[in-house]
Amino acid sequence: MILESILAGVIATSPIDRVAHIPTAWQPFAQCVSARESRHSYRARNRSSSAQGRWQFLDNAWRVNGGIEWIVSRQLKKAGVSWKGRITWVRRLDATPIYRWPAWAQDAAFVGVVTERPSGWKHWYLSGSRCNGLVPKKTQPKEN
Amino acid sequence: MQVQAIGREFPDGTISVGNPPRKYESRAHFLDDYADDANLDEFELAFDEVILPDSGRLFQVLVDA
Repeated sequence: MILESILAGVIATSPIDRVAHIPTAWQPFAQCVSARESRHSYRARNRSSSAQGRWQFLDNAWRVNGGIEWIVSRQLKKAGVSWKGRITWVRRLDATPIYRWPAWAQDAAFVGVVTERPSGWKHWYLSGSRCNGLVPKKTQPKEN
Repeated sequence: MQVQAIGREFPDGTISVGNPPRKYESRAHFLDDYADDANLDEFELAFDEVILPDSGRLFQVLVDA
């Protein structure tokens, strides 16, 4: 009965749900950063910069001048979303300020940034923050 | 994934991709036309993390190996 419930949950999970899922190892860091940066608000906007959304991505650097929507696209691809579906979302996200992105897209961008490159988490490095110590060990450089 | 082409998005919003370069007047035009122009079924972009204020931003066009 329990196994059937688990399998039903897995089968019912949509690609959108899967890309928004924060890997277990990253959840302590994610919770800490989310609380620190936006108090978990997907609609948060910084008054003195273009930092926006739950993760306070700098909209000017990551979207306007960058390609954060392609990070989301790669997460969608991993979840099995077709090219047609992905390019539709790339266009939509490219034209929309990050604070107005759906929650799943903001979370997918965060997951992509911290998992695509070992140093990705350093975008949220803040001297003295306890969040730094919550980065999964295998992504941290060895100490000399 | 492998690199299919190198592109540059200039500060004025225009995009140049590949060698010889294909040029697009905006990111929207690029998204609409590049797959057909380059005869690709699909592609991904990966942007360099460094923005050069005068010469725009480099990116790679990635395709499945």
